[in-house]
Amino acid sequence: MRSKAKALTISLAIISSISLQSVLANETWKKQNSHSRVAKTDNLNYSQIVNEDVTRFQNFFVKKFPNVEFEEFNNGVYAIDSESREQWIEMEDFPPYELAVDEGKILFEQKFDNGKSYADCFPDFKKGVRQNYPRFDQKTNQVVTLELAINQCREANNTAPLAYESEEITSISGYLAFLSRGNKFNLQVNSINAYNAYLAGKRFYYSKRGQLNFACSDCHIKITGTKLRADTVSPGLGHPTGMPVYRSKWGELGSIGRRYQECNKNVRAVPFDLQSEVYRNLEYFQTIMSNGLEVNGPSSRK
Amino acid sequence: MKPIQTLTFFALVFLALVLAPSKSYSENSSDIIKTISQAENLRLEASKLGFEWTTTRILLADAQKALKAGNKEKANQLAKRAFNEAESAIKQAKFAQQHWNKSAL
Amino acid sequence: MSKSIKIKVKAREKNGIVQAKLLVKHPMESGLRKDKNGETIPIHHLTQLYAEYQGNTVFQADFGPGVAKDPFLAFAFKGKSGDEFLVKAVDTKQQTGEVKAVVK
Repeated sequence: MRSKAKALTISLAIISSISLQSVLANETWKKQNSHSRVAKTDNLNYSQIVNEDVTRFQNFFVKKFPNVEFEEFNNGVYAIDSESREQWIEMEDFPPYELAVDEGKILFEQKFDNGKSYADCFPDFKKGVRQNYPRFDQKTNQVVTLELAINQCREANNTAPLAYESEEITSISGYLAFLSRGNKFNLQVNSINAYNAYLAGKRFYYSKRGQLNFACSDCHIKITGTKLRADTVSPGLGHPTGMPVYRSKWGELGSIGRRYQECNKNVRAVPFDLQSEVYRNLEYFQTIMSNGLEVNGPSSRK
Repeated sequence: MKPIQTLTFFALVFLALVLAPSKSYSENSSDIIKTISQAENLRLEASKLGFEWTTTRILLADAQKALKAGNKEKANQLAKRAFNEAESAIKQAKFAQQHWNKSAL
Repeated sequence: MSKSIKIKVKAREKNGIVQAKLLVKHPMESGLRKDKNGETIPIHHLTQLYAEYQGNTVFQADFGPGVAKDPFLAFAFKGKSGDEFLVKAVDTKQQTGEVKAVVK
């Protein structure tokens, strides 16, 4: 009889603790839910919700790497790994992307057949435009990246668009980024449509995918600073600031979209098309998370 | 235990193993083709959800190749693996839909 | 023979020694790589690059197929700020490049 009562008490305790846990989880989930629910009405302060997301995101990395100045996070792994940083600083003396920037200047200054030029689409190019991308275009209800904007400029002037990741488009993007160095990102989400695009990008970032079942956050938040095979995993904060990037592995400039495809394939997930809606929304989310950091593109990486 | 009990135990185990149905190969081509087409349908569903794995279509292609070459056992194994992968990818998609925000900062 | 190889030079003098750094834009195809269709990508790489300063060759590099795309080179020689030197390059397709550099 005593053992039966004991068993009963123990099972009651287990059941009540499980239900208490699920009630608590539900409460936490409800709290988190407000920052992840697809917006259906237009009366929420999206800007505030997003800026709160940014603060939480950035605080994570600032806390995790207490010896790194906030401004340094735009240098990716070189902000957190001193050995590779030394090599990178040496390379920056005469960086491999210089040739592409020179080429980009020549291409940017070429006039279209109708006499107009890229400067007509990007009038503030000398002051710098990179920090304004990706931007949400209300008229077409989509995220516009710098590469997409370059091709939109061409099409508006009856010129065939450039293939994404071609040498031409990355050189022009690199040139524009170079002129924008030092400008801070400060993208604001002000409408329901922009917020939903931002949310789609956020959802992608935290969703596990591929045969290896990794989300972007699994590497760039959970295990950032530790080793993945022989590489130190860079923090998610600051990823888009130095785009386009000259990866030694590629031997040329590439945009963040090229890296997205690589990462997806690395976890054995079928990648999406370059400049697809999925990737543009992801870039939008990632860039917003880097608000406050300076443009430092084009950059060089391993 | 008494020695006779030990002996009986192991005799029963031995009999169970010997008399158990052996895995003789019984799948025929039409079953394998069915598995391949079911796997392909699931793969397309995973693809529509945006969660297709790169390895699945390779398994399916290899299953087709093995079937053509007359290697039914291999074809069936690969088809089943492809089916499981596509199923898992769909589960992965649904899990992500429901739970992605729990790891969000 | 087209003069199409682009060479970018940065040279700075410190205590009588000029530190020269070069970036050469070149695909540096070894002739061993294959493209998506299994076709061998034809060989096309630099064969020689040299720097001339006041009538002397102060640097020479003979390239094989093992050097990677867009080679970066660095060398030093005795010289003065404001001086000029010439850098010339030639590749397997007999294309050439030439640039006149001024030491900072």
